[in-house]
Amino acid sequence: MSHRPLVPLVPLPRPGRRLHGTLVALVVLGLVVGCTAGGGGDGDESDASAVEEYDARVAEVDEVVRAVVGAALEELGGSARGGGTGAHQLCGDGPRYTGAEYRASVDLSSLRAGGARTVEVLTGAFEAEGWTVEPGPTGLEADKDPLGADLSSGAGGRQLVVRSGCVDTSHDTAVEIADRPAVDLGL
Amino acid sequence: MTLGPVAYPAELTSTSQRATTLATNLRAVAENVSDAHTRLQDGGRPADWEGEASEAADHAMTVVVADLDAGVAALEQGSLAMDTYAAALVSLEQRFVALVDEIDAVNAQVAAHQSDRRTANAVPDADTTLLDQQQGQLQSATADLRARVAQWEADARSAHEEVVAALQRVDTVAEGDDAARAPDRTDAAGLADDLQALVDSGDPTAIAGFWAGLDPAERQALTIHSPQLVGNADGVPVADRDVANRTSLYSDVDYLGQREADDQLSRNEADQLANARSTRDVLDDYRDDIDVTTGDHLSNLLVYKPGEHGGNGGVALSLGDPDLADDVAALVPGVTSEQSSLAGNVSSMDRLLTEADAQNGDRSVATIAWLDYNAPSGEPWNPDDLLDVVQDSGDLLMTTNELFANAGGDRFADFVAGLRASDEQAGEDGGGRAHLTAIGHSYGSTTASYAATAGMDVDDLVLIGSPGAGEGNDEATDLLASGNVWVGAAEHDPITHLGNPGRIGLGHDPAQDYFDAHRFEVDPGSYRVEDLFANHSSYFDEGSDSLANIAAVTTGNDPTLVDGRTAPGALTLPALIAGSSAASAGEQLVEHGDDLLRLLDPRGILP
Repeated sequence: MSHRPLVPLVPLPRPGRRLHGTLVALVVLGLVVGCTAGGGGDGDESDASAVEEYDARVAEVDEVVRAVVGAALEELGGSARGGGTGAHQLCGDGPRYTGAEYRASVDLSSLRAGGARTVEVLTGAFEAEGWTVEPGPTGLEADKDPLGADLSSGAGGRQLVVRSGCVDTSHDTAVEIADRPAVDLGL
Repeated sequence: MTLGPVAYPAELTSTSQRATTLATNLRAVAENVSDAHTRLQDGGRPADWEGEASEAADHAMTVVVADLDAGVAALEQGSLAMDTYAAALVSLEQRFVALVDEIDAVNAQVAAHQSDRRTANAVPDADTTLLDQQQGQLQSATADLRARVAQWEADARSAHEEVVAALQRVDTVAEGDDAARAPDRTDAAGLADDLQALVDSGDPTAIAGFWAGLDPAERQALTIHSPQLVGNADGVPVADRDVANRTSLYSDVDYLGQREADDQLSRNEADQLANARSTRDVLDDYRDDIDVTTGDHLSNLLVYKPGEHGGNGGVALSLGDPDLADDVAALVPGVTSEQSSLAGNVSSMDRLLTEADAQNGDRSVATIAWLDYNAPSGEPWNPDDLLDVVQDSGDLLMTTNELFANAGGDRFADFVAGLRASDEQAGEDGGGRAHLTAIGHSYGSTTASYAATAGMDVDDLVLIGSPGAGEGNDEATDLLASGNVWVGAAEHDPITHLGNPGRIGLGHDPAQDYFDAHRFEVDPGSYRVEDLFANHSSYFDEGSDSLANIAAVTTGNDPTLVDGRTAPGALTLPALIAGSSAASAGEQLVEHGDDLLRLLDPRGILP
């Protein structure tokens, strides 16, 4: 894992063109400041608290996934195919990442119920956890700011994804978090 | 006959995901054994050996070569059997989803009918003619459904029995020998030569046709013999490229991991192993994700070249199947477009997929992160590593010109041509010709522009955070004759102010009004100097105008447009740097004003 600060992309003047030395220096200075200043925080202390917040959201996502999927399995029967996976992902487009997001996904295609009944049961389960639920384009969308979830359905199956929302961190901390291995949720 | 609800089918004892994983692992082992077989067969006994010892060695090697070949033949058949089983499970899983929907619907009608019947029975002399008719219809429907459930369960048992029997046919050494000596055994080396010739000719349509003409056993043998060739051949179907590339990937992780454990890794191998592991980690993130349209796994490894581009590696990964999707978007990232940065780019494509799915109703979407060109490195120099310094400083200098973008553009155009060819081969069963959008971010926008001028066959081109649309491209129609060029340029993203008329970029700024592209709305970003680079990295942020508008283009909808930049009065790079620096300084002054006052006036004399 690299802890080196990034050197930004700054196209330099081409031979034969007028040098814009001051301008380039300003861009470099500005962007390097931007790259090393983290996600608008105050260095290590801010990042430590961001990691704490991230871990808290991971726990919250895992908890709601267990509650909601557990309710669906109990009421409908069947299984969560594969057991579910929790993955740590990056926010921002790169090369400078601005934070991290936790994403839990569960394949619910083996529930012993059709799409409409699945949506009905999951809606009740999310609402019992204090989430707001709306119909989605192919299932449902649920929200408990900053967390979000969606169930998508099609001829091939049904997939539940719950996200923590992005937690702002420095680039290096985001990469460190994203380097954590995916976890088996054991559902 | 009494009327009752239909029972759900029994649950499958295995899943397509597990069967696919096992097939991939078998293939990875087969590839390693095949490699060992080829090395021994080609190397053999040293040429300068003579005498009895030499003959004994020759004999021993011949025996080992034959044993290895028997292993390869057995593994070919075993992995083919698992592939067949996985495909049968995907079909069974799809049918399960449809059956439980139907069962719910019919059982609801049965319950309603039974309720109506109880009500009618409570009324003396009630006319039950309609109810009797309805009962007859429901009895017919439930009988039909029960028969289909029984057929589904029979098919599930049959698929299971077939895979067990197929594996048992090659589970002894003698059976492996028989498989190796079978007269109709595929000549995998010959097929690899044929495919290599087509790849060298650069004709993806011919490659798609060649692949379509192979039977499953030939494809399996060729994939095990040459997974790198199959997986990276533009024109081979996406699902088969994924199979081949996963074979290479898991074979590399296994082989190079062992060399690492043995402390024998070279520098190049260490790079390759790191690239392989970072790719495997991204696939792991999506191991429980399915494409709800097809039931197959969501992620597909379209390119896997861990040793390319000076050790940076080349890789492309899709979420969804571009051969089957209605709308496809492919991202070309900018600096640090290398295998180790796959995770971040796939996250961006995940957000785009979610947003596009939400926008386009029943149409299916696939998104691709393509990192298969020698992009300039955005990593800094490591003073402890001289080679790193030399390589990265060279890379950074390369950002000052467009050589990487030019070469990368050609590669990306070839990749897109391969997607078109395999999509066409999939035909109407694959949903017909996809609506395809290329997206270039930062230096990748210049690369995508070069791809466009190289004849890239896309419907739309999106340029975001662009330092310039490439030398010689004066307006949108120079990139795509249709003019379907869309530009996202955050006002406070300094990189977007580098292009002409900024004069230090890589061609014209495509957000300029005179360039005549469609500029869509993007959040301007923070006006603090330390956040300027974050503004350059926010085009795929969840909930952003930018993401919504890129998704709109991807799905063929109308993004929210804004006016292009005009030279007089437009924000320039010097003005942005100076203004944002002043703004940051001002904020500091406000935040720390009391401290400053105490410093200037420690005794509090000033009023």
